[in-house]
Amino acid sequence: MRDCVRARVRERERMGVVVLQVGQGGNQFGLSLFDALFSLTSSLANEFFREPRRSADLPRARAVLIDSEPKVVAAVKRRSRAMGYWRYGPYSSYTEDSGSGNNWAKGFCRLGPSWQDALSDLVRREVEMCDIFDGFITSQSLAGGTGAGIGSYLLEVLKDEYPSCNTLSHCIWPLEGECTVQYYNVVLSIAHLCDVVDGLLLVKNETLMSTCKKALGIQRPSFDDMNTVGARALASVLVPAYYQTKPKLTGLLKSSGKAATTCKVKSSDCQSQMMSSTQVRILSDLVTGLCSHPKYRMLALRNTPQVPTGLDNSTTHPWKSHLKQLKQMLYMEPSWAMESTSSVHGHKCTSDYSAFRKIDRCVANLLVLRGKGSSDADVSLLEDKALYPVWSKDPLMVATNTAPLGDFHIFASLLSNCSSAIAPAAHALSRARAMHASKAYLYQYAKHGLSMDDFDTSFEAIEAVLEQYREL
Amino acid sequence: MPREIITIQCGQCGNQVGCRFWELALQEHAAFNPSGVFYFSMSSLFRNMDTRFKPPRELPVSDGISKIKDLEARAVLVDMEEGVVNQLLKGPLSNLFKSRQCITGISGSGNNWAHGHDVYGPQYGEAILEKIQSEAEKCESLQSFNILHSLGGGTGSGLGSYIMEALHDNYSGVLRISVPVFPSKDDDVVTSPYNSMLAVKSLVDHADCVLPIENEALCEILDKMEVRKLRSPTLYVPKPSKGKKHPSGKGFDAMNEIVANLLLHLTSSVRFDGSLNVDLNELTTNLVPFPKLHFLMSSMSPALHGPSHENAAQLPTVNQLFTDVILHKNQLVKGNPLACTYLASAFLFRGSQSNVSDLSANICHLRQRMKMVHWNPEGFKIGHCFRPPLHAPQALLCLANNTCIRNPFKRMKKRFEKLFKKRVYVHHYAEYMDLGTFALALDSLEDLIEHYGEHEGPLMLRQFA
Repeated sequence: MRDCVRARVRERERMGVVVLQVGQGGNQFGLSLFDALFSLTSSLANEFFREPRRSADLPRARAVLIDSEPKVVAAVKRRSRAMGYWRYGPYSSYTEDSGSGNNWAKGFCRLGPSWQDALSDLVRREVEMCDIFDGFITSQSLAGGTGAGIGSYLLEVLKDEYPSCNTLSHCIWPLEGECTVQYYNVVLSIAHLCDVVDGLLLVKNETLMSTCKKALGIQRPSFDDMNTVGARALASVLVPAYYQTKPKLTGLLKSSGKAATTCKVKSSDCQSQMMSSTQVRILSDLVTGLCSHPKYRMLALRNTPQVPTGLDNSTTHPWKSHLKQLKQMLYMEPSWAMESTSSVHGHKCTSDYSAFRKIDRCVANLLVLRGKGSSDADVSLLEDKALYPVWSKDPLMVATNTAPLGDFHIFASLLSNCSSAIAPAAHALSRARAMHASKAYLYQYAKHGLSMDDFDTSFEAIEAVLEQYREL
Repeated sequence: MPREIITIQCGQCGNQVGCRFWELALQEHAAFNPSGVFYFSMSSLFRNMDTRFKPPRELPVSDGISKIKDLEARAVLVDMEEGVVNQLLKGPLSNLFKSRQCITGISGSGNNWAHGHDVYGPQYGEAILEKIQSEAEKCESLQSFNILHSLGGGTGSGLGSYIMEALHDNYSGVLRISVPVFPSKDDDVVTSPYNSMLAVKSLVDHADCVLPIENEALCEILDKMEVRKLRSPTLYVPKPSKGKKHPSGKGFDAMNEIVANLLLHLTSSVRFDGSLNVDLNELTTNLVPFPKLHFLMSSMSPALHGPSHENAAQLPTVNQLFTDVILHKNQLVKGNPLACTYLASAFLFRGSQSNVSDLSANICHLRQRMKMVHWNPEGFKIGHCFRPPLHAPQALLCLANNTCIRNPFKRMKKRFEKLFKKRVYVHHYAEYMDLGTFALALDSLEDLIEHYGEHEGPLMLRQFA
């Protein structure tokens, strides 16, 4: 009897993921992310939303909004209210007036430490409202001072306070020329984030923009359009999915706590199979499965299709073409990448990125398939040995959900720990080094206590990360 | 939660420019705020006071219902004559300024930097700082001091320099942005080469960011508009003011309006929402790679916009704005930035019709034409504010740290040397200051010119395309 009650209680207990939105870019993306998550999940309370105290209220986003100036957070809250489906908590934001002036050092060395107490209180409140706390997702941009500087500092603090929690950092890579000191900020942030987060998901604004232009036909995409595309891609990984049960993956399933009972099932049983197979525990599985090696932390996200396609019954293997496309994105040749219409987060190689390798080698991949027939799609295409280094065991995790993703009858996304970050990171590093060599802007960073040596350490840290990936 | 900006107007020119600025700022806010509520974005420049109390009580940013009671500008007015400030206090803007925000002398500084700096400075310095302090105390988080002055005369340049130094000492954490009007070739002040040289030294040492304006450049912009007006009679060109006239016949009013627009664009992102906000302190981070090289070329397109009746077809597109803004004819300082090297540049766009992809595409396009410094070929900053300016659907302000800013300094140096060679008028300065100051100022100016010269780099064309 008691067991039965306990089980029921457990059923109602929710895993919770707290999203930290830092800086202007981070807050704008966060809004899009919650919007996507809300529209893609059916239940009112889940990992990302908590039930309101009174039933008449709207669900609250499990989010903490942080910015160094008040306007953006106010606008984001206003917009979430105007949409009227969900809300940010009334005490979930922290803003100040000073602005961080695009200066990473000001955010990291000055504002971060002085806001530390207030921020960790705020974060703790939100964490305590989760029945089971799974981890943090941060939404930040790498260009400025707030998202990059304060964001990096906050994650270091949280690593100390919640040593066992999982963190996934969603970093927005700036457009070229968004800000003159952006490469300093990018390099400093990545160097610091690599030490403290479990997964570092880099998303280039440029790729989002070209996706909007080419795949969606939006001639002049705004940040909102770009964020919507990016948020859908991330949400497609985050909303519930279940491991595709195959004999091969038994080991993995055991490690995640439950024994795989069903092996190969017929498609007619897919519903029952879904019930009995294991749900992906968003952050912990994602992080343990993909970023198990401490030296490999860079993630990239690719997905297909970009526009909703009609339910096509004529093709018997709808998945094959999509998986092929995903694989092509991994094998992208630089020249092809420029023309790419379907890559969301794959890197775009321009001529000055010099000739890096043409295949994105992956440490591990998480393939999420959504839609009819996903549970027994043939994924052998992505099991190709050439994609992975020899030491990697079971590098491909496959999660499926037969429910469609919003308007998309089928949707495939591939979150991979791969070398695609090398090209942009190397580019940023070379630009930062050039500026550093001529000592430009350094006095502004020194003013807040970041010395020449700190820069050098960061440069070396990134160089080391890049070297790791090149060795794959 | 306002982020306040305190405007300090010093001297005749500063006060006249300031007057125009406040007029336009009021119009702009009134246009976007028909309900007359004291709302968030006004609080950067204004204060809302309840005068039923003595002393008047400051009201917080409105709840959205109660109307504005009594607006006060966050400003300090300084002049060593009474005329201009008194006129201001009697004019339509009189409500904005209270007498406790003004400091006036009687006799003027006699177009002598040394008189303004070394006599009036110590004499009025304490009183001025007190007024600045009382303004600053009313701010929750002071962002910056904007100082409007001219460098040709005595008060704006001399006392202005003194104020700049005092602000540096007392408010070192707050940004100091100076908008100085450089004297022109045919200036009516004989000693202006001396005054401007001495003032520039203090700007080099004590300001965080300087946006120089040249009268000649403003006149040229207006001349061009006049020519265009002949072609299309509906085009808006502000009427010259009745009173004082510029030697070339243009009213100061129109010229001041250009400077006022510059200030409005500059602060627009602090006041209004946008997709890429740019705070004033971001400007220095982005545009000033080396502490002393903080003199920025500014240009706007369109430079002036009034209640015109141009039809939509004639309005410039975003792409046109971008192509226009880097042309030499639109610079507020004479010079051709395209011929010289850009250390960094910022493009602040206002208007809701365009978005980030337009801006980014235009930047990519402009990059082909601009020579960027070799260590930072991507030295751009983009800002996007949703609120367009009054009377125009969109506008663009470009601030550039360009090596061609050397030219006005070289001209200044030449004029100075011409006078100094014969030591004319030097005795007026010897009365108040040590003549060694001239040598120091000259050194500082030469140093600045040389520093900028170092970054004049080889051509970087299409290398990173």
